[in-house]
Amino acid sequence: MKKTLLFCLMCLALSAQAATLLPPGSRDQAPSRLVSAPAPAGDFERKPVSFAWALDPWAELEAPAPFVAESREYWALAEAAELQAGLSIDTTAPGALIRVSPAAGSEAVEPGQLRMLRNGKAIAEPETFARRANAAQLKAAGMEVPDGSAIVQLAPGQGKGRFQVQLAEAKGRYLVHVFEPNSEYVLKAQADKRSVLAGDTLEVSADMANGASKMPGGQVGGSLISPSGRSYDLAFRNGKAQITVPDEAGTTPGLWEVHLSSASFDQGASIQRDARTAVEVTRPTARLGGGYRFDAAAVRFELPVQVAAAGRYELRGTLFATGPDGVARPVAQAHQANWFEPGARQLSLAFGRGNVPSGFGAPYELRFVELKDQARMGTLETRELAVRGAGATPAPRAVRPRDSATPVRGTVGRETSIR
Amino acid sequence: MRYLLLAALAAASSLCEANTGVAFVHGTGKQTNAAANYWQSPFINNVRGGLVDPNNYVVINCDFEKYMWDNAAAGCLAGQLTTFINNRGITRLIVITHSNGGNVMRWILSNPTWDSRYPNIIAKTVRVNALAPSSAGTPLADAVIAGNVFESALGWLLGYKNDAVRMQQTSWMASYNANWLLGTAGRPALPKTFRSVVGTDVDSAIWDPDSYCGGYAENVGLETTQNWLNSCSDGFLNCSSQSAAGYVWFQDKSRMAGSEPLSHNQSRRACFGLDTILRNDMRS
Repeated sequence: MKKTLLFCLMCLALSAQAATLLPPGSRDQAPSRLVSAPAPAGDFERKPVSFAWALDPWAELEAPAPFVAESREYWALAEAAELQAGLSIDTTAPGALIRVSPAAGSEAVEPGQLRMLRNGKAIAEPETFARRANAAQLKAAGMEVPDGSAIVQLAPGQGKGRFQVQLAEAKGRYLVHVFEPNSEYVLKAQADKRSVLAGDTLEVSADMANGASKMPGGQVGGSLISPSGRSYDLAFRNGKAQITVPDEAGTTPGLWEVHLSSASFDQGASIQRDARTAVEVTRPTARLGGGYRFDAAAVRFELPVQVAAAGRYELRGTLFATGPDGVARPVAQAHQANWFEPGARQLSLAFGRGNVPSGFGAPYELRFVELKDQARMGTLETRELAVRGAGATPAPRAVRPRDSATPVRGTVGRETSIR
Repeated sequence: MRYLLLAALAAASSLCEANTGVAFVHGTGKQTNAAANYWQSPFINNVRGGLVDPNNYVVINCDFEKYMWDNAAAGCLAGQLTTFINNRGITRLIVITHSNGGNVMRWILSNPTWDSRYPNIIAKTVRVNALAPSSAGTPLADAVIAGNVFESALGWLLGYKNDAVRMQQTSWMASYNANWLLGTAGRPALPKTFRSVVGTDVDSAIWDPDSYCGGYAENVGLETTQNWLNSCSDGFLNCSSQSAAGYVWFQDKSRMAGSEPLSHNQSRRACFGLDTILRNDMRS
């Protein structure tokens, strides 16, 4: 009788374990505070929606590394007078492309109007350019340049160094874009995170290289720019800059951008580069409660969520199950979202037993968990490894009468309260 | 052996009983008549001719100048697919996308909880044939979006560039692939097959009639824009971008008549047998 009772208790405990999520790892994101915010304007789904599907257990999963932007280009703003006289541009390899685009209200540019000078002297026309294209030709090829833009490519025979681009008919302001596809000089820009919370620290690195060789020295400046266009200075030291990401309550959709400019010299040649990369910035409007409950029969995790701002929140995660070889592999993906008002809420990841392939089972791991703010398009919290050993069966052992009063060991008896 | 035969018969039987439909999903742009202006009828008619019921097709018209998640983009696509599924009783949906249309469809597959209409669309979808999808963006978008430091100075920031071009910058797509979209390397797979047709080269020689298939011979612009792209590209997208999500169904030269390449514009037209390959795919 006692054995039966114990078995039933074990089954109950197995079918619904409650415990604490593993602490965030070094690459995880976790809000240390929450902010309230008005519900975003727009037509958002209000119904709860859940979805799960099976994954190929043999596919390798890993958290993506932050993007590395590489630049062989730079931009400059030019007034009409500068272009009329000849705007100096520095090139480091033959075959540079030069794009001139008019600001709103400025005179359009035709490629035939552009002239190149060297040391103030005009280069003979037939030898100047390898290619020219106007806005219509570029758009037809899929390059959505602003109306009135023109691109010319310097003929390889013109070599490299300093030139002056001249537009005698210039009127207004222009953007001049110099792109050097054949240059060995590359500025690399990388943020240390693919996503960051407002109020947290973002580190940006800038590396100037000549081929495979890193170039010391040089000046680097930059800004972090919000979708609304507000700019925050980045102060670089030894190629790195740190910034506390401003808590800007903007409503403009899109990503934040890191813009870098570098100026350096190599063997007497001036090298200019501008680079930019994108980063997702999210206001901490909700976070995971820190605990979970696992229903082994349904293969479902329930996670409490603390919500500080009305919105639609999504939880997503990957179930790893133990295969015949004892190795945990990804077997299923589950998502759930719902519209929540502020308060203590809950989201579930119902993987379903049907999505666990034959030969795989407990103990389970819950990995790549992400809490999303769908209405504000942000990632709030991540855990590369959130739960380990879920649904693990305790090692069988002989049950004697005096054992019945002893707490069961392992994950079965851990009735940790949900935080 | 008997069981295998029974299983094969059951599979064939369920395919016969299925009501298969095809949806054509355009790329960047605000379309009101994509059948005429984006795909053209020879392509659509040949592909849908492969269906048991050739009337089971829909040509999507949405505003794909917006961000992929926008109600005017993925919301509009979900609405038109749902209406098509319901009105025609579609049980097996094959989706053919071109360029940025692949991103909008991948948004739906990657974010099934975003909209209560998405799960049923995903459940009915058997596969996405993504023609030249811009899954990792394009350096040409990087080149034309100078960044809002300059754009704000020049008055281009709001309303000048469409959001879809902004979104298809390489660093932006890297962010969306890492944070919101599935199916790229290291990320969980999409719930349904997403396979790409990759254009690897451009024939832009004015003396070569193949350059004109689909009505395009934009060699002047292409010769300039190629400078921003790798040696393997379709004139708008690097092969690496077209191959970044799902898996590669085939590269152009391996299946096109005469081993011709498909430029970015030709991969949505009846060029070199592409339409026939897609037609034959309607029966499987």
